[in-house]
Formats: sequence, C-alpha cells, structure tokens
Amino acid sequence: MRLVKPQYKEMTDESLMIAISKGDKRAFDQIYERYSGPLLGYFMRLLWRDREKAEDFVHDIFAKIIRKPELFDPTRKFKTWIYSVANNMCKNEYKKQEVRKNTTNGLDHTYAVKDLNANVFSEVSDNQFRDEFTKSLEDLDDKHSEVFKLRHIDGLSIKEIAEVTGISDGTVKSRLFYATKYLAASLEDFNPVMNR
Amino acid sequence: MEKDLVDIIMEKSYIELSANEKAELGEFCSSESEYNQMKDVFHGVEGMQFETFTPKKETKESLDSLFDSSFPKVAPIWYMSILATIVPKEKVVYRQPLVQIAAIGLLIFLAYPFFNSDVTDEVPQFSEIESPKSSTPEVNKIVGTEPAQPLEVVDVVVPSEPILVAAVVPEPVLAAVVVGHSDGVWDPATEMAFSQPASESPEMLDLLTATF
Repeated sequence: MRLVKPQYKEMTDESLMIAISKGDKRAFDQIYERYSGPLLGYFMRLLWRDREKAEDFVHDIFAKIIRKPELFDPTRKFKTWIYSVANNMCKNEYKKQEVRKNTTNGLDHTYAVKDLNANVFSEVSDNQFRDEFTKSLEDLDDKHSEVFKLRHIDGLSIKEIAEVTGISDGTVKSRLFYATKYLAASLEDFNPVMNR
Repeated sequence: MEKDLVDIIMEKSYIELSANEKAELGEFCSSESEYNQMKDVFHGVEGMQFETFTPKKETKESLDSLFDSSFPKVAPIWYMSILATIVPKEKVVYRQPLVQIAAIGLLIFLAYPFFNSDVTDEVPQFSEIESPKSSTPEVNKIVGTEPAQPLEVVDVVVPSEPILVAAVVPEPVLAAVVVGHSDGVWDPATEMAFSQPASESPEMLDLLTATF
C-alpha cells in the first residue's frame, strides 16, 4: 500500500497514464511537462511550421488523453502510442488539406520547408556545420528525413519508429541509413570531423 | 529506449563488431569507411542542440479547465491510493485485500467460542474472603466514645380482646394451639412435643378425613 505521496517525476509514463485515468491532476501535469514540448516540435515539423496549428494539435492530443484515457493500453509503451496518435492526426490533416499523395508517412514534398532561411534549427544555431546539416536534412525527401528526425530528435528507436509510422523495421532502417549516407556525403567536405 | 543499429554504430568501432552485427549492417554499409562516415554523422547529430518548443500558457490553462470539468469530484490522492490498494478494481472480489481481511475476521469471530468454552476439567477455586479481625469491634468503639444514654422504655399496647376468634375450635387442636405446638403432641411432663399416629387420636383422624 502506498500511503506516501507518489513521486511523479520518477513515475513511468504508463503509471502516470493509469493515475490520469483515476483523475490524478498532477500525473497529467507531469505527462504534459514531458511531452508537450516534443510533440509541439513534432507537429511543427509535420504541419509546415505552422505554430498555431501545432499548438491546436497539442491541445487536441492532450484533450484526448483527458477525455478518453482508457484508449491507452497500459501494456504498450506510452511514447510509441502518443507519437502514433500524433502521426495519425497529421495524416488526417493532410487528407483534409488534400495535399498528400505517394508517400507512406503522410508527408508531402511540396509542403515541406524548402526555405533555407526558415530551417528548423537556424533559430538556435549560428554554427555553420549545423546550418549545413539542417539544409541537407531539409533537402532530403520527407519520408527519409522524418525517420531520421524521429530517431535523432525525438529519440525513438527503430522499432518504435516502425510502430509510429506504420512501416516495417526494415523500411525504417533502409530510410534511416539512406538519410545518414546522404548527410554524410553532403557534409563530407564541410566539416573537419567528417574528414578524418 | 532500446538499443538498435544506430547505438551499435555509435558505441563500437568497426573492428569491434560481431559477425551478426556485421551481417546486419552489411546491407547498409559495406565498408569500414562507410561505417565511420555514419558514425561521424550520428555523433555530429548527437552533439547538436536542437530547438526546444514550449506550448503557450493558454493551451495548458484550457487543458486544466477541461481536466477539472472531466474529473470534478476526485477524492484526495492519499484516499485514492488506499482505496486502490485495498479494493483494487482490476482484481476479482475474493482477491481484494479488504474482502480477505473481512473473511479472516469472520473466521476468527466464529472460531473464538470453540477456544473459550467454560467446560474444563479443573476444579473451580474460590477465593476466601477473610473477615477483618479486629480486637475491638467498631460498634464498641463508637459506643465507647459516646456518653451512655438511658434506654427508653416503650410501653407495649396489648389489645384486651383478640382481633379474630374462631367460632368453633376442636379441643385437641385448641390444646395444641394453647401450648404452642400445633405440629405435635405436647407432653407437659417432659416439656417435649412428639408425633404419634393419627389412629391413636380419633379426634384428629376425624379432623383430617373431614378435611380431605
């Protein structure tokens, strides 16, 4: 029996979700603290850097957690589940916008950010390597760059990416290594780190 | 996060790879130089500080009000914890701790009389209460301290005539009553009452048979 106050920061996402389903507000606050930022970044990446829309999507996804916490299966990993939900929300948005064709993860080249001045990392980076890296990443087609971002920015494993995007492990690996090779080739002559 | 190929590339050098790992990586990088290129990219990405996003305050406030409206009357956390522990909803009734405790309590209650019955082989022992032995009774003490009072003489009023007189009283019975021994024959010589069969006293026998 637990009589002492639960340590929310040490609780797993799955335990927090169980607590939320029982109406524990502080558990919700903790989940929000952990995932609101990364999800906002994820939505911004997938929704054409539209901050307002991304904010709305963050609100909607957490409202879904509040209204129907039972939708989450505690035997699953929360992180994978929440990113799957986020991915599906983006897919639905693409359908609404009728802009998506020929990609498996719901991303459209034409809607990807091609403007080098508005790349993802330029706001916080004045590093040339970083700018070049970002540029190269944006030059990649979205299905490859998205897998790369999910792995390195959102911190999902290959298996989790496969679950979130609904593609096979092999395809994830293939796209990830394709993106990596592409980036390595783009940055080969640029960064001294790459030239050893 | 579980380890995958990317972690292996970041952690190990090419020569440290096992045969299985080399086989798994074979389709993505065929040579050591390719492997090292990938390693550099991964390390380069890991060292980068990516932009962090923070949602607007209004988003959280809106969610807070939604949460409050969805869970309006929630018990305190400590109560929830206790209740969830002793009456876990996910367990069947007979496996819930509260039910188990209640069952044990009921068993103890029912079994208690069997272990506490009064039927024993032991001879009851009674305690003896000794009267306090005092050389000088309390009454005497009190009397001794108070000055002697002359006893008051009370005149006994005796009615001159009896209140009730039986109309006809048989002579032997009257004699017995007079001598004060109605349950026997009084012998004035020995001053003792003794019993005798009713057949020896026909008057008494007549009296008895007339009664029944």
